[in-house]
Amino acid sequence: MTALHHTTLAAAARAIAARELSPVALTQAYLDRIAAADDRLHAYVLVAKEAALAAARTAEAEIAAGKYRGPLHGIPLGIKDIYATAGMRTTCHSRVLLDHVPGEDAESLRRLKAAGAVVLGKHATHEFAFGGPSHDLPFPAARNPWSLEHTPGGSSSGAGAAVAAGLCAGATGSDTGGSIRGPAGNCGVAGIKPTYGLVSRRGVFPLSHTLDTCGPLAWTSEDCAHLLQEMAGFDPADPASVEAPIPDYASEIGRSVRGLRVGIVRHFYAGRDGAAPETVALIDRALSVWRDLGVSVVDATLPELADYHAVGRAVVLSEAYSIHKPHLHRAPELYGQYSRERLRLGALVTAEEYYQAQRYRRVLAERTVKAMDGLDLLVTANSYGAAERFSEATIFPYFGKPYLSMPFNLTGQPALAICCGFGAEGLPRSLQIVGRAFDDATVLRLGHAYEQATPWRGRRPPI
Amino acid sequence: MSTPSEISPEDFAALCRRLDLALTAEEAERLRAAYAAMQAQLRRIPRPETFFPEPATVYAHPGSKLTAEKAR
Repeated sequence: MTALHHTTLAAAARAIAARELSPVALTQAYLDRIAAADDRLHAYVLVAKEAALAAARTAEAEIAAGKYRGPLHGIPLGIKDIYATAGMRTTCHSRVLLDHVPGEDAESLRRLKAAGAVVLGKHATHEFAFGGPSHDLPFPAARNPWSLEHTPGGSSSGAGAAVAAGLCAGATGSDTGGSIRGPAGNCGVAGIKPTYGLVSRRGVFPLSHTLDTCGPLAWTSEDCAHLLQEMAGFDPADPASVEAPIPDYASEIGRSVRGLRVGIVRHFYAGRDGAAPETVALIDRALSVWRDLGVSVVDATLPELADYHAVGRAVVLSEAYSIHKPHLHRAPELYGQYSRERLRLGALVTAEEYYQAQRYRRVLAERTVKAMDGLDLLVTANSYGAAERFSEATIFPYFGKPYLSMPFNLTGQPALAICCGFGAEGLPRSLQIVGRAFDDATVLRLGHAYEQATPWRGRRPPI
Repeated sequence: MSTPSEISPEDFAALCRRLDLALTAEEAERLRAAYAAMQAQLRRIPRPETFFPEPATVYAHPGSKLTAEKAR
């Protein structure tokens, strides 16, 4: 029998709707799990036990009174600590904001709460979603539940670790160059970077205004669909927000994938200096699974991955430095070493370089859209191999292999990371499914079909 | 990746002073090495081939009319 803390969000929602599961019991199960495991994982920087139980009791009373709000009613979530939480400390995992208590919730969190979600607490992150995994911050770095010597990835590090280990039913993350998809992949969970403009960033501490995207992490694509349903929506107070129709994601993913046309972007990861052969083989097997389900798979060619990476790096470094410059110059000692030194690199990008990067970004985005002619989706690797060890982390990780996740931050397309198996050492491997702008539903549908057809969602970390 | 072209420690120190970056010697050396690697990376980004580049070429997000139309 599945432990309550390992029930999927969707299954818990169905049980709550049928009044077979109490939101209070579910919340207590997660709080017990946090108490038992988080001293090793460090996925939370704050646990709001009393507030969570109070919210769960309210949800339970509402449901008992016939006021069921939908699939997130009574569902316990963890919130990345760069999301503003009204009356609850929001530090961005940094000494710079150690005593910061916002007056309002981030807009996407406000929507989740309005749908009845219960907030368990705040998740660890790389400092300001940028500087990590670092050991000189006010809270410990989150660890990977599949192996505590390995990082969970970042920057939504606590979110990935907590979802995988059953310390919450779902989590919020943010993704500027892969910060949802990296931890999702390293921790063997699902995480979607939605289309840029679909989810409001208001109240979420920025890293790079033209790239930042908020989205969910959860155990399955179906769980992500439920979370995205409530997080998505137009917000006139976020200048990037787009007034686009929001489909019923949970219904859409139940549709057949037969007839979908997928382009496999093999040149991003296969070949010399690419992904480990084990990762390549696991992705090949995933393609076979989809073919068996009636999906047509052909090769697709995009611009060189290194081009996307170079553009993305110039944009992130410049925009991050522009945000942090006043604080960084006034009190550099309050930042961790990784943030401090990475942010300073942004000072060295000239205006001409930044402008040319943004100009070429447009060219890359157009070429990416063109490469999708006749295709519904793209598939590529999400990482080159297993999660790195903490001992392998470096201050400037930008000059080795290009980031596989960055292209779709630049183009703004939706990209979902899902687990596609495990390496010989027992750590998860992952791939990305990429769609057309605002076709997040089809991305989730292909992910859901794969998860339904494979055994990986039945395996949980040993912690 | 192309070989990074180095900036001399003296020139780099002058650049950092101009940008008001207060660095220890160790930080300066790490940043100088990263700067060289970043410069090599940025050289991948092509510049317009003519003095009269095409108009409106900066990024526009997927919600923009132009991108939405092209995506169809």
